[in-house]
Amino acid sequence: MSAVGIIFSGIHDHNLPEITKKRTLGSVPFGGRYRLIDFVLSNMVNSGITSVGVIARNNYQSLLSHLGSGKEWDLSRKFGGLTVFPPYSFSNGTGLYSGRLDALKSIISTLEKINDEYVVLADCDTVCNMDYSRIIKYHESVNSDITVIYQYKCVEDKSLNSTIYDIDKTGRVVTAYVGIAPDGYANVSLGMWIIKRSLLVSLVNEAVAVGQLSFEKDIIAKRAHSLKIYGYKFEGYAIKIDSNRSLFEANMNLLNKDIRDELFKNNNPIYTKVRDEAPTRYASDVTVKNSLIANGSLILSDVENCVISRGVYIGKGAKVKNCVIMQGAVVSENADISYAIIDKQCVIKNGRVLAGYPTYPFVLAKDSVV
Amino acid sequence: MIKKNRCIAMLLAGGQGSRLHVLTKNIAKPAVPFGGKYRIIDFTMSNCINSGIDVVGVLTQYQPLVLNRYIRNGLPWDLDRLYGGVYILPPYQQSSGMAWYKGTANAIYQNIRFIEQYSPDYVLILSGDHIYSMDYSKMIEYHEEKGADATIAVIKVPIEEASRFGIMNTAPDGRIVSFEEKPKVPKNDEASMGIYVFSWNKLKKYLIEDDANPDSSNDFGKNIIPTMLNSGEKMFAYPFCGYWKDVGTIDSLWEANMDLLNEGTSDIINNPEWKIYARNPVCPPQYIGEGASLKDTIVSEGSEIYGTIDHSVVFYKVFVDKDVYIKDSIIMQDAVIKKGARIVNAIVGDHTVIGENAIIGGEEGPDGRKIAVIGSGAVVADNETVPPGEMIDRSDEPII
Repeated sequence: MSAVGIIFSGIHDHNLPEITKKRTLGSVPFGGRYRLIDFVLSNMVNSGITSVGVIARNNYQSLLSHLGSGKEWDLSRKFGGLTVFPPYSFSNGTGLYSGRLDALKSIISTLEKINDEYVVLADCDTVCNMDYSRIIKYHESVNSDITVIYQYKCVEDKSLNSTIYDIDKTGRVVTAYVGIAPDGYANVSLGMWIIKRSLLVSLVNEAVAVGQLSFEKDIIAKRAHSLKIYGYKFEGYAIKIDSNRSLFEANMNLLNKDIRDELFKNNNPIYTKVRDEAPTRYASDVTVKNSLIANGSLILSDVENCVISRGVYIGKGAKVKNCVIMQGAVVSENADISYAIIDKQCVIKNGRVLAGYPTYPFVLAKDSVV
Repeated sequence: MIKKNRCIAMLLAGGQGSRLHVLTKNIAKPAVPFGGKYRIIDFTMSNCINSGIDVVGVLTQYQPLVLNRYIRNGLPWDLDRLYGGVYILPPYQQSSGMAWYKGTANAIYQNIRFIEQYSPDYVLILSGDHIYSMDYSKMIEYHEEKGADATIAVIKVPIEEASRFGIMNTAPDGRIVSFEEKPKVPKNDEASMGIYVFSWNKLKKYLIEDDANPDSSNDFGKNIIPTMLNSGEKMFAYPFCGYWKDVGTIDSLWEANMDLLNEGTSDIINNPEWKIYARNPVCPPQYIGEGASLKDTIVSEGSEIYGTIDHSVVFYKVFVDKDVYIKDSIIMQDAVIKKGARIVNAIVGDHTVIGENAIIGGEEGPDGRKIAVIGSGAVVADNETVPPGEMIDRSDEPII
């Protein structure tokens, strides 16, 4: 098998307005030391994919500074490696692309030039540890044109534009719905597809020529009968970050040992940019319960059920429960925060009280001072 | 093309460090883990890059596998360069025969051609077994200002301890008058830190002469420095103020780790203006579970803690189970501490397993603190007791 990876870094930015105000979805901080794109990138690298293109969208400076040359993912290569494509729309002739097909059309010359047989297309909003090489083997075994990767789960929030697949007993996709969710359980797209490179090139060229821009609506949904589209049900842990609530939940899920062990497998590690922080220091008498804490932090008071990123300060007498605290944030003395997502470099001053609700976390945007 | 470099560094990392006993049984001293995520050599390497020195030769000899693997292309220290960067320099075979590095000066002598590639004005000689942050560029400036042939960094030590060090006797302008290695009755309290700046042309001449002398032990402290002094070369002492610790013994290694837990001395790893770089393991953040209690402790990424830890240094990927009690100890990477174990005043090496209810070390007795040491890779059985000051050595191979 030889495959390249193409990652869409910001297709769903609008789902997390506060968090993606100053960054694209791929560079949203997650799990104390990661960015969302680390999962899909590491999964590709661990699956033996050594050429990866990332198609950026707006606000991509933070993504560029995170990815650098790709060294941290072992993607700084003489052959292949990491390529970041700035956003460009073929259909408008300029500016921002308006769908995956439009985005792919903007890099069509690259797709035509390379020799790899398959392309793994992926959004970067799913947190999982997935081996694409196994899915490519499945793709070959059923002689599929396109393989869509999905999860069988209960659709809780119907306001989100999930793609749902109808799949027959042989595993073939009969049809796809975008934005209409049934009640209860369904086959929900994880935003990852496997396709032969030559087929992708011709589909993109044909579709864009007639003004079709959406990969799911215009290719998967409309061509389910003419193409052999198969579904691959992912049985492992996967969670899509498509709302503030799911960002909060996905972080909290890391406090579960089974989920943590599955996501951060020893032989399939998740790589990220190194920041050279000293070990975290716990001063005086501190009781920390059920929390995930990255290096470089200074913890001076009790913390419970939290995910704390690198270089965070928790002052004396502060009460911090059920929170996601991102890099460099300062929680000052006697502040009391619960059910909150505190973005990077926020400062919560002495004695301030912030509280959200488990299903509706309070979100404090980057650089805010309370 | 090789560009001319004003100053390059040669880092002596070949010593056995026999006073660290089981901790250096299978690895060179500079590769000994330190401070929760570092290795001793990280401090010198980081000082080099932070001082703007981007050619560093690392001279290895004793048990180099782990050290080589750790340094590799120099990426963590930003020393993977098109020009210069880091080079591992082991002894090599020549047509005239094979020669080990006979002493510190001989190690540099054998690499004269490596140094000449860069035609440096100055060569900085460092050793890879000290914990300190130092801006070498200031020392090089001082060397230039004084018009010196050699400059030796010195630090004030308590006069009662001065007889353990190489002591520089200086004139008021800083010029070194005489040098005494471990004097019985010290005349001064300025000890050599083993950090030298030499004008390369001068050093080269003395290295060649030293090699021709069959009676020399080819050592900087014993031979090169005294010979240069006797010949009337201009040698100056560069006074250094700040934290500096030789970690050549079990006690000093333990103390230097404990210093990281104190408000003042912990700055050495927490200074954003002078970062200490290390090769980082790939692992998730640390998880502190139900039942954990932490006090004056540092913990690194990938560890899982369910026990009580007081005033200790915990490395990465360490597992500390329930009802474990750890106090005044160092737990190195990938150690597994099982239920009910009690560890006090101990250094627990990497990849060790401490069995359930095992007792390692103990409180300070009437004859002082004695550090128990569990060597890398050792397995301590359930209910086993390792008394204070005891050393456990159960692995014959370096663990990578």
